[in-house]
Amino acid sequence: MSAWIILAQAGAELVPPRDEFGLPGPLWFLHMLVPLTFALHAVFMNFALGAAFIVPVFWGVGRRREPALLDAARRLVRAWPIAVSFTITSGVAALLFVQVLYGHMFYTANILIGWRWLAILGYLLIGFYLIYALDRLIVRDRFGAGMGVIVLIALAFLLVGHEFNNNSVLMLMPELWRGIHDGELRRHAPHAMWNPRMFHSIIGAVAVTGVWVAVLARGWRPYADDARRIAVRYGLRTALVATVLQVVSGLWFYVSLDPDVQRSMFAFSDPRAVLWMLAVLGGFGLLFLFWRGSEAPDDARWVVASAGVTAFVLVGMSAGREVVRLRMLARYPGALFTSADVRVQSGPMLAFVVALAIGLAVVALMLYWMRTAPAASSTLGPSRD
Amino acid sequence: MYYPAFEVPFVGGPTLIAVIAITHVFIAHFAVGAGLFNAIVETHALRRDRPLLRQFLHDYSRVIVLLPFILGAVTGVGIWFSIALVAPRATSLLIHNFVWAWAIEWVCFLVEIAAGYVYYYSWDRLSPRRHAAVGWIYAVAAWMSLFVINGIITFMLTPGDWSDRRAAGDYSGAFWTGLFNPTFLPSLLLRSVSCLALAGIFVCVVVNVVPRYSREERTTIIHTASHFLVPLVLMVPAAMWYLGQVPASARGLAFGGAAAMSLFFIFGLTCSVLLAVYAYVALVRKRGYVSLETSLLLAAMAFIATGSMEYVREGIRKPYVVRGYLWSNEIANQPAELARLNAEGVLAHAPWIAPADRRARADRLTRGRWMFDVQCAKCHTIDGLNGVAPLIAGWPRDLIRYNLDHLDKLKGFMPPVVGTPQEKDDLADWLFRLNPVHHEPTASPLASGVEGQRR
Repeated sequence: MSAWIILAQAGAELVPPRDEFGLPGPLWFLHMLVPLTFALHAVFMNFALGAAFIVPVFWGVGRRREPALLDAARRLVRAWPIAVSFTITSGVAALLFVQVLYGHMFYTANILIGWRWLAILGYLLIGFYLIYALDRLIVRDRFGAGMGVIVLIALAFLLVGHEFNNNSVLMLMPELWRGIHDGELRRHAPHAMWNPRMFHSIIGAVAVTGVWVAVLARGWRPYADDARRIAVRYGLRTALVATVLQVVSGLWFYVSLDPDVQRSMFAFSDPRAVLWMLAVLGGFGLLFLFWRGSEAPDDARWVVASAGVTAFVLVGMSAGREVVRLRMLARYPGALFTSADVRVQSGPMLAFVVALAIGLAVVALMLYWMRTAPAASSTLGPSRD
Repeated sequence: MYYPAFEVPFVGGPTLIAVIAITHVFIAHFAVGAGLFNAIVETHALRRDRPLLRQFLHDYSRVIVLLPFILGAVTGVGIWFSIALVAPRATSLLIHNFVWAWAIEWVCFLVEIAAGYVYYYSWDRLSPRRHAAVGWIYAVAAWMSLFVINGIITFMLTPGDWSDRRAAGDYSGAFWTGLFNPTFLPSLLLRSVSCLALAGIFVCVVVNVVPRYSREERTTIIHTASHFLVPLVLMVPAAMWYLGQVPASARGLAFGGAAAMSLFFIFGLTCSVLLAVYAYVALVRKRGYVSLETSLLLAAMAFIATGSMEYVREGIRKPYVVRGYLWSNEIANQPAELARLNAEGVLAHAPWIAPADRRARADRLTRGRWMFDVQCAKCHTIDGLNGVAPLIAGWPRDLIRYNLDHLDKLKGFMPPVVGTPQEKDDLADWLFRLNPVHHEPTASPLASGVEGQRR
């Protein structure tokens, strides 16, 4: 009997029953929504975390020798709260579908972490409001105080990531639950993937934020060409360096997985695994795109290609996350919903798809209005400030 | 039962949820009302050429970005977090029955956030007409978000034919009938009125905080806002409509069946009506001025009224989380489940609280404590808020035991105690030992064990 089977049996009695109401949509559809919504969340979440590492560098370098970077840092801080807002908003959807498919495992991990899980709310509030304080400091170029605030913001958001990482690992490992519940184990999930998973998230956040810098710099108006060039170059170079490190941390992450999980990542019969493999290739492709883009910062095509491939890589990596999750949970009897649990609510599901299409169209329309609007038309009339 | 217990010392899990939820409802209602306020007033200001109002809306939109988009969003997530910790089975029920409603609500929220930021950042970029259109997009998205959530919240008290439809295999029908349940419309009216009023009250606060306005300008803005408070008079008929749709037992709790609930209900309604009368007489008719201090007092009254009405809404649902289906202690009111638990014992199905390897050697008081943890601790602490010890002070053991057999009959807002007779005996023993009057001053290991458990 393998060690995993023994461990799985040890934790199996604690696995709560799957929800008696079953799944309100087809398995394939829900399994598609989990990585898609997580990828959308990751687009913003990476900015929310990564800005805490990029802003101080841009600010510091900008003060000493590259004023364009100080300006870029200010603009990033202005956009930061919006990224946090959308991180939370998109995170709601990701958590929603995780709860549908894995709620019984997810809630158990929540409760085991308990107050630390709830503390995420406090970390978010602190980080969020401190960004507004930072906005005032960076406008006045108060570097020392600004660095202090950035450290606090970084700490707050890293703690959020820490608890999510903890929860994500713990929900996959019922054999640890009793020990954690009884206080015999630390309230971390003691698994080899914990550290590389955390590092992979942090470094990925810096890489994606670098891409965000380049994308935003292409859209900032009014904005001098020289400044735009510098911002794009630094953004993509940051992404390049972080992606090189990401290859290393990704390898570490992969090696930390159990052998059967590693094998499942290369199962060509699973479209999620295929998507993940393509994303890995896409990650290497990004190294080229970032390098070319930073060498030719005036050419918008490299930025667009970098952003597009980055989005694809995020989707693929999210799909890989699902492969790991499904493989690990398959060890525990009753942990996963099956097709026998499906009780489709076709009308409501269709209503959601229609609402989503309308919602995205409305958001796109508003963004189009913003994009095509003049830089400033003072429609409010004479300033009263 | 199937999950580990999340303990909230002294105040209990329901209080934790209440604190987060009431804060969220207050802010979220403001966000919805502010959206409607901005859209209506901006349209009015454009038609009548009122630059002062547009200037104020600009300032007001900053409050939306700073309050609902941060504190509102985080407390919204906080409700999810706290209910999943305290009542995971109920949370799972709501997710698995209404995931498409939650998802539609999420789309509304996404549009609301996007429109809110575009609205705030585009005052000097979009044409006035287009800017007002964005305001309307925000208003509609925010109100639609309320529309959907309102359906899920009201479902918990009045699920309609949901259960029958599900049993018949009509899952879509069950969804719709659950969402558009008998209290859907009156509750939507109550909440919409509350949203408008909160928007008006917050205008009074904000206009006093922003230094740019003269006294005369403030009076003009407050006069505009005061119209949004007047619909509060609808709270009384809407509340009566709402209570007319709830089950008689629930209505009875609000109308004297439970003193605390009745008081909160009267207090909430009275606050609302007083605010409406004050707004109409002092602000609409007499065009009066409201100072910052008075505005904050009005906001505090509104917060307490919101909390009171939410408390009543939650309270009259007792003893259920989802009426007819799931008790507040997360045991389902389903014949098969009850029969199984009564025959095999509750503890046999509570692996977290009563681990299989410890059950066999546990003494009766330990088993009694486990029974408390499984069936009572969702709502009761031991001797903190809603503590069970003061509730049974002075009761003889036989009375406690009798109550356990007839709890749902003796106290209409309590679920029945489930389990084998032996388990109820154990629970009665443990409860009896909480009573200091009957505490035996012996040095037995059992006595010290109980004290240890109480701590």
